[in-house]
Amino acid sequence: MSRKVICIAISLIMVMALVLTGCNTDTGKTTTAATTAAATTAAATTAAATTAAATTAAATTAAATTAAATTAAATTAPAVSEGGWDTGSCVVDPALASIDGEGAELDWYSYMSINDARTLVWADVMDYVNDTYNMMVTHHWVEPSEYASKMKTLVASGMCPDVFFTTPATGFIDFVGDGICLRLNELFEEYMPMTLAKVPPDILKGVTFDGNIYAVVPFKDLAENNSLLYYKDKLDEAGIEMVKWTRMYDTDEMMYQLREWRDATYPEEKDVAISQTYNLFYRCFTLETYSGPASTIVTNYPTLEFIQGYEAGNQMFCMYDTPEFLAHIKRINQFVTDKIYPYDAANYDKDGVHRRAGDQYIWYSQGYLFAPDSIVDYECALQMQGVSMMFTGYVQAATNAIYAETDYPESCAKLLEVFNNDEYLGTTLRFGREGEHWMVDENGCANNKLGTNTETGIKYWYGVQIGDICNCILPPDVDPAFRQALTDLNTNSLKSPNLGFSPDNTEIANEISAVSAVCSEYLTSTNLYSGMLTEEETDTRVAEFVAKLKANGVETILSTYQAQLDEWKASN
Amino acid sequence: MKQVKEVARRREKYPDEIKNLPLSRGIISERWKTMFFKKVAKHIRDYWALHVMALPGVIAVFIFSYLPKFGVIVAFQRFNYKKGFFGSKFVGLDNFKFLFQTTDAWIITRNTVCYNAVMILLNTTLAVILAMILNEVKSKKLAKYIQTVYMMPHFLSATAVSMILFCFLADTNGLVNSLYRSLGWETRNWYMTKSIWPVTLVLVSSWMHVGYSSIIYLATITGISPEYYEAAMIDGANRIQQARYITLPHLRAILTIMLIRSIGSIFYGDFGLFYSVPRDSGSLFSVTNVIDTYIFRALKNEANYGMSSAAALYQSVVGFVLMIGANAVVTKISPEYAMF
Amino acid sequence: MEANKVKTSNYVGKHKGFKPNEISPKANFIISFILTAMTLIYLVPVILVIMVSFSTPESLTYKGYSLFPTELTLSTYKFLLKSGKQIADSYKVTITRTILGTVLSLSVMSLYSYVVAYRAFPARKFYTYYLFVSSIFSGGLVASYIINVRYLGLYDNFWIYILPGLVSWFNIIILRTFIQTTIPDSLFEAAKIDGAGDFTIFFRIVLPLFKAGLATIGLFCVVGHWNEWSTALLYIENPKLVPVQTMLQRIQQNINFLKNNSQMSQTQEEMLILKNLPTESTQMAITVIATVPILCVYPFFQKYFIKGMTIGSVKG
Repeated sequence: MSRKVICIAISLIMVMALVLTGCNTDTGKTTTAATTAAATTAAATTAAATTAAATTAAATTAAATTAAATTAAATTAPAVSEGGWDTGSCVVDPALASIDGEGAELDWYSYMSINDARTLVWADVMDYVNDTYNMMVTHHWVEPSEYASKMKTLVASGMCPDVFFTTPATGFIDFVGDGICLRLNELFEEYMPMTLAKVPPDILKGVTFDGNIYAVVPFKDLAENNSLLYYKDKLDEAGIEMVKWTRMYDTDEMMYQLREWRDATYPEEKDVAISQTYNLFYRCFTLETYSGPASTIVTNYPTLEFIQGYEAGNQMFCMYDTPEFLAHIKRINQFVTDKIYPYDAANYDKDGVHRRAGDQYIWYSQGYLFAPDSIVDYECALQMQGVSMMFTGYVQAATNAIYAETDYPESCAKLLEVFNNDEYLGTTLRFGREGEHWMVDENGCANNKLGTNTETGIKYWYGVQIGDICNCILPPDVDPAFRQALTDLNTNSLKSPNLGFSPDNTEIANEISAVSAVCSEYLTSTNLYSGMLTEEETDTRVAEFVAKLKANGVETILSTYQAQLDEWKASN
Repeated sequence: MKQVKEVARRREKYPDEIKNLPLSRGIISERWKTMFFKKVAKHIRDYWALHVMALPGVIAVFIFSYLPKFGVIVAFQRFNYKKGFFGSKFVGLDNFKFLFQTTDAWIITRNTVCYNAVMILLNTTLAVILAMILNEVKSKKLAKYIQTVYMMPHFLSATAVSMILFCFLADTNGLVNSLYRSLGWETRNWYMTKSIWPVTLVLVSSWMHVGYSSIIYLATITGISPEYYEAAMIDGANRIQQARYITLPHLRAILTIMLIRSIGSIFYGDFGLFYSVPRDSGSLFSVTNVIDTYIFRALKNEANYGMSSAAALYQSVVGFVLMIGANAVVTKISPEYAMF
Repeated sequence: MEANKVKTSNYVGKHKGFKPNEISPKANFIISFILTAMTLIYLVPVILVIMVSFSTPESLTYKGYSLFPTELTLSTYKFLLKSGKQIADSYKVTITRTILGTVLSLSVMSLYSYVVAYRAFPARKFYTYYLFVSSIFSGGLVASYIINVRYLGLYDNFWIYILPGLVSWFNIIILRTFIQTTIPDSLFEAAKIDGAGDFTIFFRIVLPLFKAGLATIGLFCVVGHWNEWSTALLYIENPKLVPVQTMLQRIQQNINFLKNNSQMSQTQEEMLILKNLPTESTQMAITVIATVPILCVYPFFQKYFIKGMTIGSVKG
């Protein structure tokens, strides 16, 4: 090609690059000029100012208050819908809201990819928040799979956002230990009373460290609620009753009965498994786990089925070092041979084809109180575990925290209070604009099949990171009694005596990583959990596994945790 | 030195009155200074263009490579999110211990080094042979087609390769087991059988990389002037001899560079190959666990920032030392091929 | 360029494509046949990947993977390509970044490699070591993040794709090797005697002659830019600035996430897709979408590697 052509091509490319560079100012954020101004003052304290219009970085602690940031252009007031739901009167008292000129920023989880409609909805929400409560918020969507690394990088770079969603998996315990999270006790009482009422202090113990509350727990299922979903028609046809189970082993007999019936009635399906594999040992035995490597170290729950020989609630032990574990592995082998559990499940039926086709009758689920209606094409029923257990890890599983060095701690608290309680916000965030993306149907539900633009992909009801999951008009596929059922679940659950204890892993980091690696080797569906081992192989491998655990320091971890637990118990 | 002697020699001829006057030091240092500046000026006059040419690269490397290097200090710290890089506690070599104190330490090192050594040798040899043969094929269209096809596996993601292998080795429907069944033999669960994996992994690696690696060698062969071959033909050399005495020596330079670099990365395991292709099968760890996969599994749940930095530092420093060593060996043998 | 074509082959009068030492037709046939037969080993798996990307999960579970699947579906591709505008934006970003990144990288690196190849240059060792020492160890992700975001303003900025990866020390070494082996020193000396400056030498002599080297490294850069997907995860928020690979990765991770957390309610459309969308096929479809463009681009580079007719070369 001649040189001229090359030069022209390159200049075109450069122009495109400049356009792409400049184009990030329009979308993705709120439209108010004041907000973008507040957000772009993200220059680090010591560094030279970043190029102004082109960057909207995550908030730093040094953002200067822009005194000129008055209320933004007025938004169109949300309409009152047919169902009598008046969005103008929000649940939170505006007088409680922030003072002129303050701003706060949030980093959110996003379970769906960012799309234009969703950002539009957020623009509405931000305008509303700005308008009603005089708060300026810049929100950042992050995909859940990237959230942990993004959060940790941000915090490590000294650019922690003011409010952020956090769980132990994304570093909550480390952040607490290093002083990143703000102590919330006083803020709760003064600025977040309604949130406090929904999640009372005895549950908040789960996020309390040494008497300091470090996170805001949303109102959701805060106790572990396992359930088994099953193909109701088939069980009725077989005349078999679903067992009210507390321990997974309670269902064994029923599964064998089912299999016999199935082999007799549908012989062509005799190679298909009855149930999904359920191999997590601690769930089979209702043990309490702690944040540690593969939950190796556990305690027994008081009043529940024990692992023999260990005092409930007080004595920690390594659950793989018990005869019950060996029996458990042998049971899995037996079940796979007997075609109750599937063969080579991890590789063979990745997409649940058999379950969708109705060949596989029972599978495990967590978190449902009522059977959902959109998982499979046939009707499935739900049998909950006879007991729900509230332990520290579960309470900490989805919380929002405030940065300890934020400039606006009160504003952040108020923001969280607003998002936990304001019904307009809750509904708009989950379902979109009323009339456009959803409308109230005859049952008083927010139905996203009605409305003018239903192709958008905004329906995200469970949204724990946006606070109280019932703080909205419920969608049609959620049982109306849900709010009450959740409250009952939380109040009636079995609370662990160690609620609030989180082990500190700093001194034993090496042992933990070594044990993690060993667990990765043995506790997979291609090793111990495969169900395809012979009797002697099982014995050998389990013994090998335990020996390797011990050689890599599991007993050090155990003694450290026990000492920490004793100390915690002494002071609590 | 010469100037001093020159001055001394000339002074011999001066009249007596001023011959023995003490030399002012200023004159010598003035001389030195002007000589030095003259040298610099000359250098700049001659080579200014080269410095200007190197400038963009120098700046880019400085900003993006040298500046962030302060971050390596984390490998020696118990990193505290609040205190950051310069406030966290210094713990010396503690973060490196997890790589050596585990019972698997020898296994992962042995696996990494051995697999890499075999793969380097095999892949390089095959790539060179392929390049040489492709160069001989008469039909250029055919050569282009073959080269494109051979290059395709390089672009497949590790997941795709693992799926391809799974088609063969799967337990229920895999091709190998179906074959066994039709022959009446007993099927085996290949993903829990250790013995086949070393060979399989090496072959898969060759399959993936030989085609793409041959590009560089082909490009070099392209640059060999045909006069060499003409002269050799006139001298009566046959093809093998031509290959040995003309092609290979021309490839020596690039081969040396590639080999030195491969030696430098001998402690890096190809994560996709050793993690995804065996499908993370726990039974196979003793033959498929390499340093990178071990680090991933150890730090998966408790991502300790100091430890992951320590692991990365360990791999790069060892690689660097090995590369220097390899370079030194090459310098001894034939200095013109050395990297530095 | 014309000035360098000094000598034409003695065989120019012979039939077109005649090389002085061609192999016998029989040997040619044998190797051609063997090589072509071996392409099956490469083609069959790739075709398998394509076929699986069109298979339904039912056929995969009941019958396993096969080159001739019984049930085909387009739903995977429809799902991946459904947001046409998003795909178009992402391709725009990827193409711009590939071309611009490769061109800039090649310019900077070839200039630098010339400096490092020029044997008579006294500061040559300094520049080589400067490059090499930078590769001993890396400062880590967070340190780079701090510099890129807080001091350089590269957050949510297109240039984050190009600037950090501008220089790769190993590519420079390869280019240097190419220069040193293809171009003899005497040429430089001759040019200097003729009074040419370094820039002139570079543009008039070096560049035209080591096209093969430039093409090789150019191909590596193109492939590198095309396949790179992790930068956007940390540095980019604006969905208009996300390249194709990142977008595809995200879709894959979203699907995995939805499958593992089916308690989260989704839109009707997505639930429908989730019910029917296979994990394995999606991964294969993503591989196909990601790979096809490169394979189309490659023949453009290929002419520099496969030796064509004998052309005149420089007299030493």
